[in-house]
Amino acid sequence: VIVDVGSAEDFPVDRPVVVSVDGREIAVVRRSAGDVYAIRNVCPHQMAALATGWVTPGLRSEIPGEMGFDDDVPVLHCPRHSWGYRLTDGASTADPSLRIRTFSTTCKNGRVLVDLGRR
Amino acid sequence: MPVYRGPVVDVDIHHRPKFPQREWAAYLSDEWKRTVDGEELPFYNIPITMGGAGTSIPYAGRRKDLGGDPGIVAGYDLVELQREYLDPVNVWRGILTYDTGDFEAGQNPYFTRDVCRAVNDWNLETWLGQDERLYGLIAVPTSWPEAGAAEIRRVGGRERFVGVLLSNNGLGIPFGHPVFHPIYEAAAELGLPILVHSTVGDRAAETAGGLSGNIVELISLHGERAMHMISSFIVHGVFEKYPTLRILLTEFGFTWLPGLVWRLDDQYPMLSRESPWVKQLPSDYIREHIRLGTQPVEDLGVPGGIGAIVETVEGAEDIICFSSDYPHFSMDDPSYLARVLPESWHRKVFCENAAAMFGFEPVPVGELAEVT
Repeated sequence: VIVDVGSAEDFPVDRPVVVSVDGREIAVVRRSAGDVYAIRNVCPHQMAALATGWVTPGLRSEIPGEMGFDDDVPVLHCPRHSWGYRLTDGASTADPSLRIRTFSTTCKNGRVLVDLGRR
Repeated sequence: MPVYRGPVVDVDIHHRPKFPQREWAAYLSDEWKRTVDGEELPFYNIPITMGGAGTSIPYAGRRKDLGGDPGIVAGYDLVELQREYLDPVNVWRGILTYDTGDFEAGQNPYFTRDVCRAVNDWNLETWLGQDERLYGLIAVPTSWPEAGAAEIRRVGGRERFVGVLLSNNGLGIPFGHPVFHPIYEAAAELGLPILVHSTVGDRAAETAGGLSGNIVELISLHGERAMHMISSFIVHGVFEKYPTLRILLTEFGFTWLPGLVWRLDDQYPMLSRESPWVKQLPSDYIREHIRLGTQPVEDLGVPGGIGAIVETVEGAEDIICFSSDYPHFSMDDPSYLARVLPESWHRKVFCENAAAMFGFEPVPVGELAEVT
């Protein structure tokens, strides 16, 4: 099921916005490049609303003491304990086996569409 | 009552010169000898012990009944050590840890570098090789890690040196900080583990709250320092950078381990953001890279009590290594430890864990330690 959740302008860049679809809360994040992500609005750690957190580029490091950003893998951080989840697939940045459901999105004619089916 | 009769590896046997200022001074470089000499009975200002907590403990904190002449600080006499401890306790291998590591943190880095060289040369010439059971640690100036790395490379190839001692902290920064990494690089290069020892009067890091005014305060809180060091090694990625490095922390006790592991693992999601080079759970690093000496061990008065607490950490029996602290006043005898630890842990804790860490092999089979 594909749902129209609003105009792209309704989603300020990197500011998660909650949309409610069929009783489910989904956090929608639009990035400056125009890509849009949708993720269940709940952190499995202590059930906080993820949309009240913040978005950063992903972090990567191959050498202790050195790190870089990975803009292709944005991360939504929970406001309570800073747990991070990759918006691309919902996986925890600490433990990839911990995963929040994400949804496919598309932008069409300035509208943001969320596919509620399985990814 | 559980008893252990097998071979013992003791990772904390303190030894010292009878008169440190004079005996160590004999090994100083000519430059430093000339700088500080000039009197018939010179005072070299080598930091032997900085005092601090424990001033009420007589015999300078050493056991009066050990070491020979009670008028002289115990730990200088190898024959006494053999007679009163190594032989009756069935010590198969022992790690000599110096009396205290105060001299590693002298405030003058140049002099401290020279003192560490002198101490290592003294150790090689006067102790190591005198008893087949005993092995030594390389002393390094913790106030100057680059010089410490050079010292490790200077003497690290000598077969009786089986590790590196980090005791008093000359910089006041936890030992995981990158400033100390040259020491780990050199140690890893030579396949030498690190032994971190607790301190008395370490101005930088005796306990988390500051210097203790009383020995009970200090002993009760020894674990604080170890917890901070372990956390520091992990967050700074020491084990990612030096994947073969092993670190043993001794005279901190170990019953605090579960709380530390729980807290570190709980913080892992945050850790992966602040230290993205940390690729494993802290508990996994601890299991693979960290070992803990046993002493001082609390007697909970409940059979199996300590085991019940510590075994909440998976693999805890592989982490803990027997340490006596001979001949200091808070020394733990192996028979005492055997009573408070689960019997199924004995062989690992008293022998196998430390033997694996320091490369002592083959581990004797059966009860008696055949010294080779």
